[in-house]
Amino acid sequence: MNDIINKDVDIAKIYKPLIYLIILSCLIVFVIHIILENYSEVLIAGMCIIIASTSLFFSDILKKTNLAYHILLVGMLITMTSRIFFAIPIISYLMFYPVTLFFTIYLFTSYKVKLFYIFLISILGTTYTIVFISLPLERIQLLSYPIEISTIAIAFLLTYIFSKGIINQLTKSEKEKDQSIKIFKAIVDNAPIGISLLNYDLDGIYTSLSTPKIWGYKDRSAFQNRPIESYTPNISRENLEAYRDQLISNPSTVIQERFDSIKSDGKPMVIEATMVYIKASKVKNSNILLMIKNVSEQVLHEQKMLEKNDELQKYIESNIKLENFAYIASHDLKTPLQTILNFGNLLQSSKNSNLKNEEKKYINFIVDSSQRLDNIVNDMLNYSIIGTSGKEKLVDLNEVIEDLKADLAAKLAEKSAVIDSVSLPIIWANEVEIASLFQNIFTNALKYSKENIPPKINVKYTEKESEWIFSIEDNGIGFNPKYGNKIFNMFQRLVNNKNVEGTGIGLAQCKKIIELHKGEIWAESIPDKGSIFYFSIPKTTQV
Amino acid sequence: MNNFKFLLFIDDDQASNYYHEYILKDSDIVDETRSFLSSSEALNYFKNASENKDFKIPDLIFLDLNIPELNGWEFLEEFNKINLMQQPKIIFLSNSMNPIDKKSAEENNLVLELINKPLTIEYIKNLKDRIDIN
Repeated sequence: MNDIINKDVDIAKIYKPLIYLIILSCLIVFVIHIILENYSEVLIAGMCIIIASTSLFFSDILKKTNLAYHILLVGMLITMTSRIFFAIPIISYLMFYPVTLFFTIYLFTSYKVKLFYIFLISILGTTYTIVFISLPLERIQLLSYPIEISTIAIAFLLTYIFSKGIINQLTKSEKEKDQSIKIFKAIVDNAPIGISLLNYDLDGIYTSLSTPKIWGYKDRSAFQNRPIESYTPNISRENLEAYRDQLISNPSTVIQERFDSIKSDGKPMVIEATMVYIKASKVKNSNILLMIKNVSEQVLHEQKMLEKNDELQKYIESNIKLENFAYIASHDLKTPLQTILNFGNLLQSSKNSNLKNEEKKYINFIVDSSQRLDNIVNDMLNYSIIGTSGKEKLVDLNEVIEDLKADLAAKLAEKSAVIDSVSLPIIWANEVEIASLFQNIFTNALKYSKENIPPKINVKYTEKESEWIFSIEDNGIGFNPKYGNKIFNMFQRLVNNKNVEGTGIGLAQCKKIIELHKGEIWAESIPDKGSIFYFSIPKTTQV
Repeated sequence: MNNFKFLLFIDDDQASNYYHEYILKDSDIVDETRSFLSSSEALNYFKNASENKDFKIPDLIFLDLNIPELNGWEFLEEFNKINLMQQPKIIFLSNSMNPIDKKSAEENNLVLELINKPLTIEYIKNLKDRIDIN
């Protein structure tokens, strides 16, 4: 079959001279019969000329060769039919027969004809020719000879053209089918999943090459004659049948399950099987599309994730426990501490004290230390309860600053300190916490101010697309920038100055507050010039 | 302006009670103070009022929030069930300013407020002015 296609005969080459021949010979016949006044032959010859010319017109001018062939075919059929009516020589009928047969086959099967019919047409055509040639000459109307000859030629030509067309069509679709199968196989065989088509009895109708690869086999032979459950040890036939029945009763479901399996080299693996129902009508006797994927890595990752999650959970829990512990511990420390302070203060302030000077000194030490301890415990308490109360709401920071100025009025006056602030925005924040943040930074600035220089605190902000960035600048002693963000760690104090009271918790509180608001806090400083504390707060609203 | 007649302390910390009573005695703004070391003792005092010749309704009760047996809030619940001629105001004392307690205290009609220990003379003086104004 391929040979025929490869011999590419240019039909146009035969077609054109043939048409000219028909037109020329029919013209001669036409003229002669006009002279002989044989009008039925004139009509036939005229029709032939019109048909041939029309065909030529379509083929040459409009370049619709296929249509041109059709016109010629149908036209000749009509001519032959007319000839039966007008002249009735038996041979016309004989010639008419194969052409009509071919035409009928062509029309009703539209190329989907088997080679047998083409063969049949050729035989008939040949028979006709032989009969025609062997007939005694006197029985033929001599003057119509060119018409007969050209009709035969057309019959053969068209038989050839259309059989070639049919063969072309047939082989083309075969080739296309071949190609699509190849593409389909390439996709299926190289997919990272195994694909099998199972029938109702769960036998594999088709198994992709990728399927054995999942288990580490090179080809399908290890799979071919084994039932599906044999390569999934943890799944029984009953299981599979249950899945199948589930799929059949509800065809839109997709079943996905994971099973432990063993690779060809004995290593364990986890496979994920996906089963989908296929209507039996599409592929004969098939019911289930089974897709298999090696998910061992994925399972491993998932396990690791879960472990990490567990760890994180434990960490969070222990953190919460630690904070609870800090709260309870500091709370319980408070009572005895308060007693020491209370009575220490009483001793210090009692008017009629019998205490010696030396003893008064001791009492002072006790009270001072207790006071410091009390400060630490208070700060730890405050630290541990950050974020336990209040919700985010719209907070006017200008009000917060004004309130703080009032609260800190005594301390500010004591050091002739000034807090300057630009007009601040209204932000989403936890009001109590944000106020305590500002307070911590302000009191820090007051604590770490330079001697004899009135502290100046400047509050500014910049607006970014998604966040606010606030800055609080002071003119204090500053800190060595190399300690950078260490200052935000708990109990971290950079200044070794006995005169400066501090617990080392204030900035840790600030950090916790900012973390609560999902922002960031950082600081810059030039020693002896001052520090700038920055913090950002996202604009996002909490709904 | 009159002195407070009678102030009551309920606190399991003896030192705390002693200290509070001591500074008030010294201050001349309170006539009499008394303290209980447990909530049940205090509840009994109010429950058995009729049998007690010396029973007096205090002007104020200072109640430690964190006491064993019934804590401050539970005491309050029980105390609320007792019928008294006159309802004394209650002030919670706490070592730690737990914001949740503070909020609950603000919302509770029986409780005047929640304050941090130790109690100071200034606070009592201030309070006296405030209550008189009220």
